[in-house]
Amino acid sequence: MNILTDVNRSDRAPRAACTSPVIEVRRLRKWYPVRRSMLSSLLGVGEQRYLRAVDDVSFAVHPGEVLGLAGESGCGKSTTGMTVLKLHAPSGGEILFDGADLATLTGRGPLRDFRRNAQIVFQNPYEALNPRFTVLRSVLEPISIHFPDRRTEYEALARLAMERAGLLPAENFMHRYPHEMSGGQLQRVAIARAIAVEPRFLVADEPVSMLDVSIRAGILNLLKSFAETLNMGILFISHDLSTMRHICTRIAVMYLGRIVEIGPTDQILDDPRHPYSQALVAAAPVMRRGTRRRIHLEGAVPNPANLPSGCRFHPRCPKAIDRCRTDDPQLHAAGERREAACHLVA
Amino acid sequence: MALLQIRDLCIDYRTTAGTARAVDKLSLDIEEGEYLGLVGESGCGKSTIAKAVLGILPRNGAVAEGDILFRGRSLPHSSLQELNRLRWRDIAMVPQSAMNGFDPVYTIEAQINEAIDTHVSWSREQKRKRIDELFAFVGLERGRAHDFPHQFSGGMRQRAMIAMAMALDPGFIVADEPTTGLDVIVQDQILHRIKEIHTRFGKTMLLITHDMAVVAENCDRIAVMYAGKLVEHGAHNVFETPFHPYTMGLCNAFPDLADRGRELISIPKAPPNLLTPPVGCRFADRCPFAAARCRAEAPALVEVGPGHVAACHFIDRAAEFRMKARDIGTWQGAAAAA
Repeated sequence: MNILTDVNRSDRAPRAACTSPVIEVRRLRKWYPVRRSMLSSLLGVGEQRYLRAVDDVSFAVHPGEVLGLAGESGCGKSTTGMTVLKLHAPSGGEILFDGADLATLTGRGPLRDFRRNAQIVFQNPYEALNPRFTVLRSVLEPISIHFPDRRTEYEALARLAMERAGLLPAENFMHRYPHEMSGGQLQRVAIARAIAVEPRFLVADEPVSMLDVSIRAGILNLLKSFAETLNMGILFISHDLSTMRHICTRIAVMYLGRIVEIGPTDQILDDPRHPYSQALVAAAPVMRRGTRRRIHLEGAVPNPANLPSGCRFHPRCPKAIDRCRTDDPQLHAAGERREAACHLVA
Repeated sequence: MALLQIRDLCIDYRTTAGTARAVDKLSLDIEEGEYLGLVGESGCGKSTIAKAVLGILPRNGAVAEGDILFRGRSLPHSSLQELNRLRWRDIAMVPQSAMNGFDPVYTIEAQINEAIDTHVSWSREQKRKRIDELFAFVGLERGRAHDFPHQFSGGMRQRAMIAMAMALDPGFIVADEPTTGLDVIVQDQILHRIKEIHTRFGKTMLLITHDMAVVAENCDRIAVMYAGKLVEHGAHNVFETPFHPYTMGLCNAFPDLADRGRELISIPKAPPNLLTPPVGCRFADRCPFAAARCRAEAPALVEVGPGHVAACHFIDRAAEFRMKARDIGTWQGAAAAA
């Protein structure tokens, strides 16, 4: 997007060839306790069970990279996004920002620094913005919180963020209220607000699924350009693999709280190795008819509060063998820069 | 004669701000045994057409002009009783959200039986056998027919809705965004069932969706709507050689899983306000190829190939437009010019 490069006045160092991750999570967990019946909690019998929304998830996002987190509803992809940002308290595991574990960061300073550097764009822009705030006020809010000593620059920073988000010219939008704008414009306001504090890591949770096809591309290209020109690391959460083809550098496929496969976008989409990724890729409709082979999956996604033994996917897997019913497969190397959690993938 | 003939149809919605013409002078035929896909973005009027066909327009909406003929019979001019006789038996619908399609306080079986009882007098045995067949076809366990809608997942509810639509073997089925809100794998299974209704039972189908890959994969014919107008209509390969710049724009904006390395291009600006539609071509404001004529005069649908029509003043330059439309600069130029 040339609009962006024109206004790109970032003084940040150019992208290094080999960088350390901006965010890394190791064995991240988010378990929700399942309510027990009154009788068993009164008597203190039966053990506390958990809904394992995110269960030992590990990945890293590098600067300039868009990592896609794909999966069906309920697989834990949004919970992962919220937990990585510490909007949900993790039940276990580590979150490393610039190599430092967030759990060990104490005091307001370091955590506030993380809050500024890690931002989020939500799915529904109609609900993400305060209807009683003008656009300018929405964009100014994070700036005034995170840059308290740069008061004189506030409006310039807000203007820059709006221009970077493609709201051109910024003056035309600053004094509008959300109800005066279209969904695509609102999503750009939400993006402007997120990037106004110059974050290095952005979580985009289904940022285009509420928008019409003709304007989706603009938002996607915008996010991609942030990775490319501002060197931002982006975690792009979506159920739509077709969209990921065009924006993501790498894709992680989630099923029932676990990453089952992770690797470079084209490799995952052209040659998925895990049977679940294969089914997911095969289910996406394509423009050229007759070029797609359907895979039939049995049943539905099981209840995450009552997980199957062994591999979580085995009850639906067309290729399951005996070992899958007892042994829980871990992510292991499956080709160059690729990992899969399947006993059948060597 | 086509099974469904839509003739110069105009549908108005009364709003507090004035009258919005959601569908404007739209003509479209659906032949017996055809599977038509109607695509367009939100607010283009595609669902309004489905509602008009079934006579379920909201209170503030009405057919202002034109006609919809089903087997030669006018639907907007039919009485409620006449419409009720047609519904389920001749025309059935698979609605967008199957959650709202069922009454929460009755079992699925009771609701399918109700639809059957309204039209025919079958014995209990006949009804039971029919539900056996229907559930087997849509892939639901027979025992689940005694469940209430809330005990079903979204995908199962949509399967049950298809079963109900098929109950009286209607000739024409309208599916309005039948898979919106469902997961990809479930969506694929549902679309596969709907396609089977067409291939196995030879039903005439109208599928309304915003997903271009879904229509390209499933339908025999494709119609594209924009701001209440039909802009292009042709065979299933319309997206391979589009003639209307809007169709070209949609194709370039739509992400395709099978398409590596293509740049996505959005269409600048937004559709026109239907309370005050422009006099000329409705797409002119967003079209990178628009000329003075486009803003002054609305283009009519013209034939561009066998069974393929498009509403553009410059269909003879379509090949050139198609080339230019693949360049992101072309569209940004349109945004800057306005």
